[in-house]
Parts: sequence; C-alpha cells; structure tokens
Amino acid sequence: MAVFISAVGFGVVTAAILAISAVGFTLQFSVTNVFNLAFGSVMTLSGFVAYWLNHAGLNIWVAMAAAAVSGGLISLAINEAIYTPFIRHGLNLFGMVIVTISVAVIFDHGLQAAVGPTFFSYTAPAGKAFRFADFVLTRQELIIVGIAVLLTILVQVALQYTRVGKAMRGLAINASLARACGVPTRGVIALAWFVSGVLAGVGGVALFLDISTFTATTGSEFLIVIIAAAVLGGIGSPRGAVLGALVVGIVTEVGAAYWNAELKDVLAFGVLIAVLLVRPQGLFSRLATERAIAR
Amino acid sequence: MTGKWKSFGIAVAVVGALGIAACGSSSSSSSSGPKGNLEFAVFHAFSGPNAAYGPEAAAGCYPAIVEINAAGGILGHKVHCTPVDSKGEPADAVPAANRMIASSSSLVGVIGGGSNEATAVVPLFQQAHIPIFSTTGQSSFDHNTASYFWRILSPDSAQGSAMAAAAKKLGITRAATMFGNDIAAQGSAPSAIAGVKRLGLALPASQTLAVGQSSYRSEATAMSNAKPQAIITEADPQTSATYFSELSQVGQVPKLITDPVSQEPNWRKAMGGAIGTTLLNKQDYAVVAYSPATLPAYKVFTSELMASAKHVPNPSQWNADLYSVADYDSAIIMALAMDAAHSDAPGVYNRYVTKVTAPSSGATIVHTYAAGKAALAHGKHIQYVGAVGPVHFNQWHNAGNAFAIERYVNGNWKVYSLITAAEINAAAGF
Amino acid sequence: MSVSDAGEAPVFDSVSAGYGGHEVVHDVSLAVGQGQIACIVGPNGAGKSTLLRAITGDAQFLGGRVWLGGEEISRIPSNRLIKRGLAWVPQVDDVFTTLTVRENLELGGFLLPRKGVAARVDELLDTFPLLAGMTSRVAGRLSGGERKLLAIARALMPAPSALLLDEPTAGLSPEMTGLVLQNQIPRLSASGVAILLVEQRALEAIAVSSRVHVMVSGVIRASREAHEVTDWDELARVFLGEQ
Ligand SMILES: Nc1ncnc2c1ncn2[C@@H]1O[C@H](COP(=O)(O)OP(=O)(O)OP(=O)(O)O)[C@@H](O)[C@H]1O
Ligand SMILES: [Mg+2]
Repeated sequence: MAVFISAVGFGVVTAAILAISAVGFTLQFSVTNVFNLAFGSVMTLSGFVAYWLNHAGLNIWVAMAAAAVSGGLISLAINEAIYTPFIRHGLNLFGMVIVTISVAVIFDHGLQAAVGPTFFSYTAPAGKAFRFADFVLTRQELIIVGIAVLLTILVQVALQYTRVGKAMRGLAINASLARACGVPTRGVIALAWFVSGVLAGVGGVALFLDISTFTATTGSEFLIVIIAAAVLGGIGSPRGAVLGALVVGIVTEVGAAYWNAELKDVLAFGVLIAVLLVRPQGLFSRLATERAIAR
Repeated sequence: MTGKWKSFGIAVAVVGALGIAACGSSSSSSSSGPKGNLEFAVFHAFSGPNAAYGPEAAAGCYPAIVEINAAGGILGHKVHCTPVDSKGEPADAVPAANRMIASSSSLVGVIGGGSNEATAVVPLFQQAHIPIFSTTGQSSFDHNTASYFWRILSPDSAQGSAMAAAAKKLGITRAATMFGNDIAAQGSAPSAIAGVKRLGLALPASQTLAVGQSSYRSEATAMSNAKPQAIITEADPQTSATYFSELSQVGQVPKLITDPVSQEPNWRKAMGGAIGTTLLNKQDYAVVAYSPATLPAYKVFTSELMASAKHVPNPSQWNADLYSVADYDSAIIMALAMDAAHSDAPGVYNRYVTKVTAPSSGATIVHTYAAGKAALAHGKHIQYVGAVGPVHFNQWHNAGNAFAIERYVNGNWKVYSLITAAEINAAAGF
Repeated sequence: MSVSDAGEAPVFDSVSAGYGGHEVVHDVSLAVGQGQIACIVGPNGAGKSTLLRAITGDAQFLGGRVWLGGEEISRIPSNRLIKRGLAWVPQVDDVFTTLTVRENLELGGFLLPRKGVAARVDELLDTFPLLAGMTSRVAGRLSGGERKLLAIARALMPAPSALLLDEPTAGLSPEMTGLVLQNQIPRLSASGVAILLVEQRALEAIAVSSRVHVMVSGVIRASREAHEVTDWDELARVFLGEQ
C-alpha cells in the first residue's frame, strides 16, 4: 500500500510537470488549429534563457518567470513571422504540420550548433525533502506542483469566465462567427500563441529541473509524451490535458513500481490507445472536430 | 591519404593477390627456391560503415613488421602486411577470405575478423589451417574450439564481468545493478548481473530502465529501499542524470561502479549537474579496459607505430587504441611462434602460440620480437609479455585483457586498482 | 444599447463576389430601407449566400461597393462591421457549438459594455422564451429550430441597426417558420432594424417583405415592391431562369 501511495504521489509530480506544457499545447492547437510540433523547441529555447539567467546568478524561480515571458514572445514571433504567411496562403493542416516540424528541426539544431551537443543543468537546490512513508517530495517539486496547479486553474478559469476566454473558445470553434460578434480574431490568436508560449516556457524549465539535465533537443524529445497527455484528455480541453497528464504520470510510476520499469512507457501508451479506442475524442470530448486553420 | 587513395591501395593489394594466384596455380606452386616474403593479412572492413576497423588493425600490423624486419625477419623471410577488405559483412567477407586462402601461398597468419564477420570466416581459416587472431567481441567465441582461432582481448561481455569483479574488489557485499534498456547498456548488463551472483554478492535490486523518461522516482525509491552498498550501472547521460538526481532526493547515492561511458565528458557534465561533481567524483569507480602505458612492449609499439607513417596515416591517433595494440601483439606472437617451431608452416607453428606466451617457471620474459628471437636462438623457453600485458590463452584460446578501476582525481583519471583477467574470469565463470 | 448610432440601412452598389478569383455574383445593386425588410429569393446555387458572405469576409469581394449609413464598409475587416451596426446570421455554422446557450449570447455581446451584458441576455431570453429554459445547454446539442433562434438572438445581442439573415427558416417546422417569419422578423423591422432576408420559402418571405429581389445565376433578374408581386407565374418563370 505504501508503495502504491508513493507511486501515485510520484505520478502526480510527473503529471504536474507534463500538465503545464500539455495545457499550453492543447490551448494553442484548439484556438489556432496549428498542430505545432515546434512547441518543444519553444520549451527548450526558453529553458536556455532561464539557464543563462540562472548561471548569471539569478534565482531559478525568477529565471523561470523570465523564461515564461520569453517563451511567450518566441511563440508569438514564430507565429507572426513564419506560420501566419503560410496560413494566409491557405496551406492546409497537414502542410502546416510539416512547416512546424521544419521549424523545430531548424531551432533545435541551430541551438545545438550554438551551445554544443552537451548537457546543461540549472543551479537550483532541490531543497528540504518532505517524507510521507515512501513518498518523498522536495521543496522544489512542491513548488513545481504548486505552479502547475495555479497555472492550469488560471487558464481554466480564464477560458471559462472571462470575456476574452469565451472569445478564445468561440474563435476556436467558429472563427467566422467570432468575427461577426466583433472579436478581433488576430489579436486573440496572438494572445493564444503568447499564453501557450508562456506555458511552454514554464513547462520547459519545470521539466528540465525535474530531469536535472538537458540538451538543445530535450524539449522536442519530450513533446510526444506531452502531446499524448493532451490527446488522451481530449485535444482542446485544458482540463483534459491535466487529466491526461495525470493518467500518463500515474500509470508510468505505478507500472514502474509494480510491474516493469523497462516497459513503463509501453504501459502508458497502451493505456492511451485503449482509452482512444473507447473514447476516440479523448476523456473530455469536444463536439466539433474537423475545422480549418483559424486565420 | 584520402579515402579514395586508400581504397585504391586496397584494390591494388587485392588485384595483386589475384595475380599471385594466377602465377601460383601455373608452375611454381611446389617450388622451394630462394626464400620469399611472408604475409600477414589484415582482414577487416576497409569500406562500408565500419571502414575504420581496417586502418585500426593495420596500425597494429605495420609497427610489428617494422620490428620483425628490423630484427632480420622470420627464419630469414621478410614479412608484409596485406590489407584485405572484408567490408564488414559476411556476404563479402566469405568470398574475400576464400580468394585470399586460394591465392596467397605466402599467407602465414590473419590479423582480423571483427564481430561482423568472424562467425562466417573463422571456419574457413580453420579448414585452411591458417591461424587467425581475431578481435571479435562476440561471446559465442568464449568457448571456442577452433584450434586456429586466437583472441587476445576480452569479449564485450567482459565489461560486465569486470564491473562485478570490481564490486568484489572494492569489498562490497551488496551490489545492485541499474542499466538502461538501450543496446549499448544491455551489452554488459547480463554479465554484470551474472557476475554479482557468481561472486556470491547479494543483489538487492536489479533494474532495467526505459531510457529517456521524465521521471524515475518509483525506481529510485525502490533502489533506495534496497540499500545497496554500490550500484553497478551503465545508462546514457540523460537517463543517468534524471535517475541519480531523484535517487539523491529520496535517499543516498552509494558507490557507483561505472564503465567507460562515465569517462565521457557529456556523461560527467550531465551527472555532475544532477548530483554535483563533488559527490560524483567521490562515489564513481569507473571500470575500463586496462592498457598499461608503462609496459616495455607498449613503448616499443608506440615507437614502431611512429616509424610506420608510410603505411599508417596519422599514426599517433592509434597509440592508445587497445585494438591496434592487441593486433600488434598478435603479429609478434605469430612471428615468435614460427621461430620457436623453426617453421613458417601455419599448421606447425600454430601449436607453438601458447608456448611463447604462457607463463612458466623457467621461461625468459621478453617484450620485443628481437629479444624473443635471440632467446629462442639460445635454446631458451620464452614468455612474451606484450603491449597489452601478459597474454595467457586458456583452453578456448581466449586470453582476455586486464581491467582497471579508475577514479577521477584533481581533473585526471587515476588507476585506483587493477582487475586481472583471472578475477574477471571468476566473475564470468570460466 | 446599440453599439452604433449610425442607424442606417445597407446599400449594395454593383457588387461582384466569388471564390478564389472566380466570380459568382455579378454586379448586384440593391438597397434596404431603414426599418424595412428586403428579401432575396432565387434557386439553389444562385449566389444569394455569396452576396452576403462578400460583406462578412467569407467570400471574395471582387468589385463594387457596400455602404452603411453613408460609410463604405466593403473593405473593412469583418470584426469591425458590428461596430457599425451590422449583424448577420450565416446559413450554416451559425452558433458556437461548444459553448452554452448563455455563453453564445454573451459572446454575441462581446462589444457591449461589460455591465450591460447580463441584462441584455435576459432581454433576449424574454424575447425568445424557448431559449430561457436551456441557458446552460451546449449549443451543439440544440434542435435545428432552437439553434436557429439562438443564432438570431446572438446576432441581436448588440442591438444592430441592420441584419443580414441567410435562410433563417431552413429546416424549421411550420410552426417555427411561422414564429420566425411572421412574428420575430416583422417585430424587429418594426423596431427600426433594416433586414436583408435570404429565403427559400419565397411566398412566406414576400408576404412580410417590403421589397423582393429575384436572383438567378448571380444576377438580380427582377426587383419589385412586394405588394406589386401579383403575377406569380411571371415570378416562377424568372425563378426558373426562363426570362
Ligand atoms: N466556398 C466556396 N468556394 C467556391 N465556390 C463556392 C463556395 N461556396 C459556394 N460556391 C459556389 O458559388 C455558387 C453560389 O453559391 P451560394 O452558396 O451563394 O448559393 P445560394 O444562392 O446561397 O444557394 P442555396 O439556396 O443553396 O443556399 C454555387 O455555384 C456554389 O457552388
Ligand atoms: Mg445559400
């Protein structure tokens, strides 16, 4: 029982780290319908911003805040400078996926050329460990879980209750009608890119702190798990992304504790496929599915 | 110098060998006129994905013939190295070996046969009664019965056995294992785990990790609860860093028994970032193949290597290469065996290989071909202690190199303790 | 309550429109009087929707001008049209399917002052009592008729001075059609809203309209005051493109 409780506890920590990014990914995709595989590169780039600031002497949490802002700006810039022209030319969904992959490759490898193919770590003490039976949580992990909870609630509340949040949801499902209501769609789309970039920045730093070392390609390497969490929850649903992250996190940790550490991702992705078989729309469904890219 | 010229050279060599075949089959095959040259074939990949193996082995052969020819050759014959391209593939290696065997009457020994082609070609050389000194890493040759097969270096699995032996040597009684599930790490995992059990150490945890995960907290917790005195481990930098950083959070990082991967700058950077360089340097015991730079034969090898620049481009790149060093010893051992046998006939001198390498009470220890030749001329028994150290072949014609435990002290790797071939054999169950 | 005090009706001046450079609507001119209902009838594929979409930015505007209250609106971004008092209900995709009924209405009032939104939602729920009982239902789960009412209510949220309705009765039951065509729409125009109505149900539409335009193959074939339309045979011939 103690093993189970600790595995679930660890799963929650893993989920918190994945959830920040998964919420960012799902939000941006649902509003703009660009399946942005360069999301991992935004995580990495902002992770490096935090690294440079951190090694210049800044506290890691301050560096994380700076990474959040730069993640937002990078994400916004990628959309404005690269994606928007393609969307204006009417490139379809699949064509856009290829464009985003190209951007990811260019960013990752460009960064690698700049910083070298080696490993980087933040200077950040894990802090005091809190121990409940087998379940050990460091101060650092506690803060990350806190940030994850705060951010996902913030995003959820903003989408649910604020005027711009509703506009974002409306735009996500019917951009033309949103314009008819007077929603400045370009601005709202830009906001979605920015917010998703902020979440990529925070999520990147949280992930890199968690795995303790990272390279110029780490963000992209973990993108699959992040997308898996988003899809599992029902792409487009921030609540779903959190739930998806919890499933992935808890299944992998419980699998590692009880079954076979070697096959824990096999188990997690097995669960993913099983869920999608039963609920193709993910755990939290959205009504409409097919839709063109929002302009 | 360039690859193009290199392959041109190989083409010339192969065509040359074919030319000899044409002559040999006509009239002079049984002639015993003035003594011709002897040939060592460097049988390896010179092209294809493993094209580096050939030059690496050639960098062992050429220095040896410089040494041998300077001492007057073998039984009056000059010796040559002949590169033959196996392409690192059985489909190409088999016809190349057959052509070589059929064509070259002066071929007295083969240096080569790597992991890619050894299984396919060893039976051919066995059939043809030509000694082959192989550097294959396959464990299928651990109990080899082909009498013409010889292997100086340890198989790949010896790394794991050496890590287990290192644990015992460090006085550890509870040793856990943690290996990544990638091919590289899995090469040594089974032999390390088997070694720990065979040496009678407790194995409180044995973990295989899915590499590249975002968390190993459950695994680290299980490891921490198992309370090992040391963890025998090999995993990529990212996986190692994540795992050990989490282990350091849930408990303590015990001694780490690692492999050459841990000496790579990337691994140290990642792990240093994860658990701190102080703790890493304190707990890390790297187990690596031992190439004793201080041995007399090694010094001879390096100077002859520098004298081989004509055939070995940029020779200094090979001077710490264990494979080149072992291939050098292979050629010297074959030459000494011919002297001891008073015959360059492969079928005869093959039986003398152990006689010039095995330790025995009355034997004169020699480190060079010249010294060995002289001692043999005076009717003495010799033991050649080569550039890799003593070469002590067992009944399966496997010698095995020593390993060392190295520690990172003040910015340098220092040998902390040696693990002999015998200690590794105990862990490997030989 | 209106976001615009232009209070004037739209005028189309030789408008051409289409898709991907291909012209579908040719040289259409018509005007809607303030507080009046103009209707466009015509066979499927005639280009009725395309004409409306040219203004709302969903089809290409290829020529001509559209005026609203003395200002040209043909080239302004479609999200600014509502500020000028122009609202519309498209033929399809007329609600936000993942939002609740109340949220749909709130989003319709996106440009209203924050404080006024809730009150305006209540006003419209009074006007469309059918919707009042389902405010927290997701719009994608409404029936066709409920959905159309929501779409119209959403468009009315900012109290527009001009309204474009593209087949508001498509798929509705006879009772619903009656409610919309004979009740809601005349009430709206009576309150001063200029309405351009595209309708398949020509007879019912003409009955409530002041002016009728027959569109065939992208051009207006006939324009009449509604009360002048007495020769149904002629209309039918025009409709079928025989004139
Ligand atoms: N998005 C589009 N791209 C290209 N052509 C289109 C598009 N939408 C409509 N069309 C074409 O334009 C023409 C006019 O279509 P439109 O929808 O305006 O007709 P309509 O009069 O509204 O017909 P209906 O009564 O069936 O609604 C048709 O030939 C149609 O095929
Ligand atoms: Mg239409």
